[in-house]
Amino acid sequence: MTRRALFALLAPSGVLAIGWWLYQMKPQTAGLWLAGIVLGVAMHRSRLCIAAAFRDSVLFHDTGPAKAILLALALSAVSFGWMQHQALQQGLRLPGNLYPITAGTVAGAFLFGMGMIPAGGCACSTLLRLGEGHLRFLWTLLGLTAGSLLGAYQYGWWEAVLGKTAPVHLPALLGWPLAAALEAVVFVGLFCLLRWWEQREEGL
Amino acid sequence: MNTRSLNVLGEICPVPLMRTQEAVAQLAPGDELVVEVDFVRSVRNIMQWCTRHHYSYKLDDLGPLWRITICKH
Repeated sequence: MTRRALFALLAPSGVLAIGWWLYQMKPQTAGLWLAGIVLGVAMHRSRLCIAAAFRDSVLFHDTGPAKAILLALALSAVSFGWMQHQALQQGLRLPGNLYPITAGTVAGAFLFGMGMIPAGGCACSTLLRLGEGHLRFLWTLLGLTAGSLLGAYQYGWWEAVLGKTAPVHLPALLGWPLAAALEAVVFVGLFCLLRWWEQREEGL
Repeated sequence: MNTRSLNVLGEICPVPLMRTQEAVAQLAPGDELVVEVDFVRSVRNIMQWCTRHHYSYKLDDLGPLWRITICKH
Protein backbone atom coordinates (compact mmCIF):
# COMPACT_ATOMS: atom_id res chain seq x y z
CA MET A 1 0.00 0.00 0.00
CA THR A 2 1.42 3.39 -1.01
CA ARG A 3 1.82 6.22 1.50
CA ARG A 4 -0.90 8.17 -0.37
CA ALA A 5 -3.40 5.30 -0.12
CA LEU A 6 -2.61 4.82 3.58
CA PHE A 7 -3.14 8.55 4.22
CA ALA A 8 -6.40 8.53 2.21
CA LEU A 9 -7.60 5.70 4.44
CA LEU A 10 -6.42 7.07 7.79
CA ALA A 11 -7.22 10.80 7.35
CA PRO A 12 -11.05 10.46 7.10
CA SER A 13 -11.03 8.02 10.05
CA GLY A 14 -8.99 10.52 12.09
CA VAL A 15 -11.35 13.39 11.15
CA LEU A 16 -14.40 11.35 12.16
CA ALA A 17 -12.75 10.15 15.41
CA ILE A 18 -11.89 13.72 16.45
CA GLY A 19 -15.39 14.84 15.36
CA TRP A 20 -16.95 12.14 17.57
CA TRP A 21 -14.74 13.12 20.52
CA LEU A 22 -15.74 16.79 20.09
CA TYR A 23 -19.42 15.80 19.73
CA GLN A 24 -19.26 14.11 23.14
CA MET A 25 -18.01 17.36 24.69
CA LYS A 26 -20.11 19.88 22.73
CA PRO A 27 -22.09 19.03 19.54
CA GLN A 28 -21.69 22.58 18.15
CA THR A 29 -17.88 22.26 18.23
CA ALA A 30 -18.09 19.01 16.22
CA GLY A 31 -20.21 20.83 13.60
CA LEU A 32 -17.65 23.64 13.38
CA TRP A 33 -14.82 21.07 13.09
CA LEU A 34 -16.52 19.33 10.17
CA ALA A 35 -17.41 22.64 8.48
CA GLY A 36 -13.75 23.69 8.80
CA ILE A 37 -12.56 20.42 7.25
CA VAL A 38 -15.01 20.75 4.32
CA LEU A 39 -13.96 24.38 3.71
CA GLY A 40 -10.27 23.42 3.92
CA VAL A 41 -10.68 20.60 1.37
CA ALA A 42 -12.68 22.89 -0.96
CA MET A 43 -10.06 25.64 -0.72
CA HIS A 44 -7.22 23.19 -1.28
CA ARG A 45 -8.78 21.44 -4.28
CA SER A 46 -9.81 24.75 -5.88
CA ARG A 47 -6.25 26.13 -5.34
CA LEU A 48 -7.91 29.28 -4.03
CA CYS A 49 -5.29 31.80 -2.93
CA ILE A 50 -5.99 35.39 -1.96
CA ALA A 51 -2.33 36.34 -2.41
CA ALA A 52 -2.52 34.95 -5.97
CA ALA A 53 -5.61 37.07 -6.67
CA PHE A 54 -3.49 40.21 -6.32
CA ARG A 55 -0.03 38.94 -7.29
CA ASP A 56 -1.01 36.99 -10.43
CA SER A 57 -3.30 39.77 -11.66
CA VAL A 58 -0.53 42.36 -11.41
CA LEU A 59 2.46 40.25 -12.49
CA PHE A 60 0.97 37.87 -15.06
CA HIS A 61 -2.39 39.41 -16.10
CA ASP A 62 -3.90 36.13 -14.82
CA THR A 63 -7.13 37.31 -13.24
CA GLY A 64 -8.67 33.86 -12.57
CA PRO A 65 -8.05 33.90 -8.78
CA ALA A 66 -9.16 37.57 -8.53
CA LYS A 67 -12.43 36.75 -10.31
CA ALA A 68 -12.99 33.79 -7.97
CA ILE A 69 -12.48 36.03 -4.91
CA LEU A 70 -14.77 38.67 -6.44
CA LEU A 71 -17.48 36.03 -7.00
CA ALA A 72 -17.08 34.78 -3.42
CA LEU A 73 -17.40 38.37 -2.12
CA ALA A 74 -20.49 38.99 -4.29
CA LEU A 75 -22.16 35.79 -3.05
CA SER A 76 -21.27 36.67 0.53
CA ALA A 77 -22.67 40.21 0.08
CA VAL A 78 -25.95 38.80 -1.26
CA SER A 79 -26.29 36.16 1.48
CA PHE A 80 -25.30 38.51 4.33
CA GLY A 81 -27.59 41.21 2.90
CA TRP A 82 -30.49 38.75 2.90
CA MET A 83 -29.69 37.63 6.47
CA GLN A 84 -29.50 41.23 7.69
CA HIS A 85 -32.74 42.14 5.90
CA GLN A 86 -34.55 39.16 7.46
CA ALA A 87 -33.21 39.99 10.94
CA LEU A 88 -34.25 43.65 10.71
CA GLN A 89 -37.70 42.65 9.39
CA GLN A 90 -38.18 40.52 12.51
CA GLY A 91 -37.06 43.36 14.77
CA LEU A 92 -33.81 41.63 15.70
CA ARG A 93 -30.37 43.18 16.15
CA LEU A 94 -28.31 43.60 12.96
CA PRO A 95 -26.23 40.40 12.68
CA GLY A 96 -22.53 40.41 11.88
CA ASN A 97 -19.51 42.30 13.16
CA LEU A 98 -19.57 45.73 11.56
CA TYR A 99 -16.42 47.81 11.64
CA PRO A 100 -15.78 51.26 10.16
CA ILE A 101 -13.44 51.70 7.19
CA THR A 102 -10.81 54.21 8.26
CA ALA A 103 -7.32 55.28 7.19
CA GLY A 104 -6.17 52.52 9.56
CA THR A 105 -7.95 49.92 7.40
CA VAL A 106 -6.18 51.21 4.30
CA ALA A 107 -2.76 51.31 6.03
CA GLY A 108 -3.33 47.85 7.54
CA ALA A 109 -4.38 46.37 4.19
CA PHE A 110 -1.27 47.83 2.54
CA LEU A 111 1.03 46.43 5.25
CA PHE A 112 -0.68 43.02 5.12
CA GLY A 113 -0.34 42.93 1.33
CA MET A 114 3.35 43.90 1.50
CA GLY A 115 3.94 41.00 3.89
CA MET A 116 1.67 38.52 2.11
CA ILE A 117 3.50 38.55 -1.24
CA PRO A 118 7.07 37.79 -0.04
CA ALA A 119 5.68 35.35 2.56
CA GLY A 120 3.97 33.41 -0.25
CA GLY A 121 0.42 33.46 1.08
CA CYS A 122 -2.31 35.00 3.18
CA ALA A 123 -3.61 33.44 6.40
CA CYS A 124 -5.63 30.60 4.82
CA SER A 125 -3.10 29.67 2.13
CA THR A 126 -0.35 29.60 4.78
CA LEU A 127 -2.33 26.88 6.58
CA LEU A 128 -3.01 25.06 3.29
CA ARG A 129 0.66 25.10 2.22
CA LEU A 130 1.74 23.97 5.69
CA GLY A 131 -0.73 21.09 5.42
CA GLU A 132 0.81 20.16 2.06
CA GLY A 133 4.17 19.79 3.78
CA HIS A 134 5.93 23.08 2.96
CA LEU A 135 7.59 23.47 6.35
CA ARG A 136 8.99 26.91 5.53
CA PHE A 137 5.43 28.20 5.99
CA LEU A 138 5.89 27.53 9.72
CA TRP A 139 7.86 30.79 9.76
CA THR A 140 4.97 32.59 8.04
CA LEU A 141 2.54 31.11 10.56
CA LEU A 142 4.79 32.20 13.43
CA GLY A 143 4.95 35.76 12.04
CA LEU A 144 1.20 35.80 11.44
CA THR A 145 0.46 34.59 14.98
CA ALA A 146 2.93 37.02 16.56
CA GLY A 147 1.53 39.95 14.54
CA SER A 148 -2.07 39.05 15.35
CA LEU A 149 -1.30 38.69 19.07
CA LEU A 150 0.55 42.01 19.12
CA GLY A 151 -2.31 43.67 17.23
CA ALA A 152 -4.92 42.27 19.62
CA TYR A 153 -2.81 43.29 22.66
CA GLN A 154 -2.36 46.86 21.39
CA TYR A 155 -5.83 47.23 19.83
CA GLY A 156 -6.98 49.76 22.42
CA TRP A 157 -3.94 51.94 21.79
CA TRP A 158 -4.42 51.85 18.00
CA GLU A 159 -8.10 52.68 18.39
CA ALA A 160 -7.23 55.68 20.56
CA VAL A 161 -4.58 56.90 18.07
CA LEU A 162 -6.61 56.36 14.90
CA GLY A 163 -9.89 57.54 16.39
CA LYS A 164 -13.08 55.60 16.94
CA THR A 165 -15.79 56.13 14.32
CA ALA A 166 -19.15 54.46 13.93
CA PRO A 167 -19.51 51.89 11.12
CA VAL A 168 -21.73 52.82 8.17
CA HIS A 169 -24.49 50.39 7.22
CA LEU A 170 -25.27 51.25 3.60
CA PRO A 171 -28.95 50.11 3.63
CA ALA A 172 -29.58 52.34 6.67
CA LEU A 173 -28.02 55.27 4.81
CA LEU A 174 -29.38 54.74 1.28
CA GLY A 175 -32.24 52.27 1.65
CA TRP A 176 -32.10 48.61 0.57
CA PRO A 177 -32.76 49.01 -3.21
CA LEU A 178 -30.15 51.73 -3.69
CA ALA A 179 -27.58 49.95 -1.49
CA ALA A 180 -28.06 46.70 -3.45
CA ALA A 181 -27.78 48.57 -6.77
CA LEU A 182 -24.60 50.33 -5.61
CA GLU A 183 -23.01 47.01 -4.58
CA ALA A 184 -24.00 45.45 -7.91
CA VAL A 185 -22.42 48.38 -9.81
CA VAL A 186 -19.20 48.03 -7.77
CA PHE A 187 -18.96 44.26 -8.39
CA VAL A 188 -19.76 44.52 -12.12
CA GLY A 189 -17.32 47.44 -12.42
CA LEU A 190 -14.52 45.46 -10.75
CA PHE A 191 -15.27 42.45 -12.98
CA CYS A 192 -15.07 44.63 -16.12
CA LEU A 193 -11.80 46.15 -14.85
CA LEU A 194 -10.34 42.65 -14.43
CA ARG A 195 -11.51 41.62 -17.92
CA TRP A 196 -9.91 44.74 -19.41
CA TRP A 197 -6.63 44.15 -17.53
CA GLU A 198 -6.56 40.47 -18.56
CA GLN A 199 -6.89 41.33 -22.27
CA ARG A 200 -4.32 44.10 -22.04
CA GLU A 201 -1.44 41.61 -21.95
CA GLU A 202 0.76 42.04 -24.99
CA GLY A 203 -0.02 39.59 -27.77
CA LEU A 204 -3.44 38.58 -26.49
CA MET B 1 14.69 19.64 -31.31
CA ASN B 2 16.43 20.39 -28.00
CA THR B 3 15.13 19.63 -24.54
CA ARG B 4 16.08 21.83 -21.61
CA SER B 5 15.23 21.29 -17.98
CA LEU B 6 14.35 23.72 -15.22
CA ASN B 7 14.40 22.77 -11.55
CA VAL B 8 12.28 25.06 -9.37
CA LEU B 9 11.76 22.62 -6.51
CA GLY B 10 11.45 24.44 -3.20
CA GLU B 11 10.53 27.75 -4.87
CA ILE B 12 7.21 29.40 -4.10
CA CYS B 13 5.00 31.69 -6.21
CA PRO B 14 5.70 33.73 -8.24
CA VAL B 15 9.28 32.44 -8.83
CA PRO B 16 8.46 29.18 -10.74
CA LEU B 17 6.38 30.93 -13.43
CA MET B 18 8.82 33.83 -13.77
CA ARG B 19 11.74 31.44 -14.30
CA THR B 20 9.63 29.36 -16.72
CA GLN B 21 8.83 32.50 -18.73
CA GLU B 22 12.55 33.35 -18.91
CA ALA B 23 13.48 29.80 -19.95
CA VAL B 24 10.74 29.54 -22.61
CA ALA B 25 11.82 32.88 -24.08
CA GLN B 26 15.26 31.36 -24.78
CA LEU B 27 13.86 28.27 -26.54
CA ALA B 28 13.82 27.95 -30.34
CA PRO B 29 10.55 26.88 -32.01
CA GLY B 30 10.10 23.11 -31.59
CA ASP B 31 12.24 22.94 -28.42
CA GLU B 32 10.92 21.54 -25.17
CA LEU B 33 11.29 22.68 -21.58
CA VAL B 34 10.86 20.23 -18.70
CA VAL B 35 9.94 22.03 -15.48
CA GLU B 36 9.99 20.29 -12.11
CA VAL B 37 7.96 22.08 -9.46
CA ASP B 38 6.53 21.20 -6.04
CA PHE B 39 4.39 24.27 -5.32
CA VAL B 40 0.82 23.48 -6.32
CA ARG B 41 -0.32 27.03 -7.09
CA SER B 42 2.68 27.43 -9.41
CA VAL B 43 1.60 24.33 -11.36
CA ARG B 44 -1.75 25.98 -12.03
CA ASN B 45 0.04 29.26 -12.91
CA ILE B 46 2.30 27.57 -15.47
CA MET B 47 -0.58 25.60 -17.04
CA GLN B 48 -2.70 28.76 -17.29
CA TRP B 49 0.17 30.71 -18.84
CA CYS B 50 0.83 27.94 -21.43
CA THR B 51 -2.86 27.86 -22.38
CA ARG B 52 -3.02 31.65 -22.77
CA HIS B 53 0.07 31.63 -25.00
CA HIS B 54 -0.97 28.52 -26.99
CA TYR B 55 2.02 26.41 -25.87
CA SER B 56 1.21 22.72 -25.62
CA TYR B 57 2.17 21.03 -22.35
CA LYS B 58 2.07 17.65 -20.65
CA LEU B 59 1.62 17.36 -16.91
CA ASP B 60 2.95 14.40 -14.91
CA ASP B 61 1.92 14.08 -11.27
CA LEU B 62 4.88 12.45 -9.55
CA GLY B 63 3.43 12.50 -6.03
CA PRO B 64 5.34 15.14 -4.07
CA LEU B 65 6.21 17.05 -7.25
CA TRP B 66 4.95 17.75 -10.75
CA ARG B 67 6.78 17.62 -14.07
CA ILE B 68 5.50 19.91 -16.82
CA THR B 69 6.84 19.42 -20.34
CA ILE B 70 6.26 22.55 -22.42
CA CYS B 71 6.67 22.57 -26.20
CA LYS B 72 7.35 25.90 -27.90
CA HIS B 73 5.80 25.84 -31.37
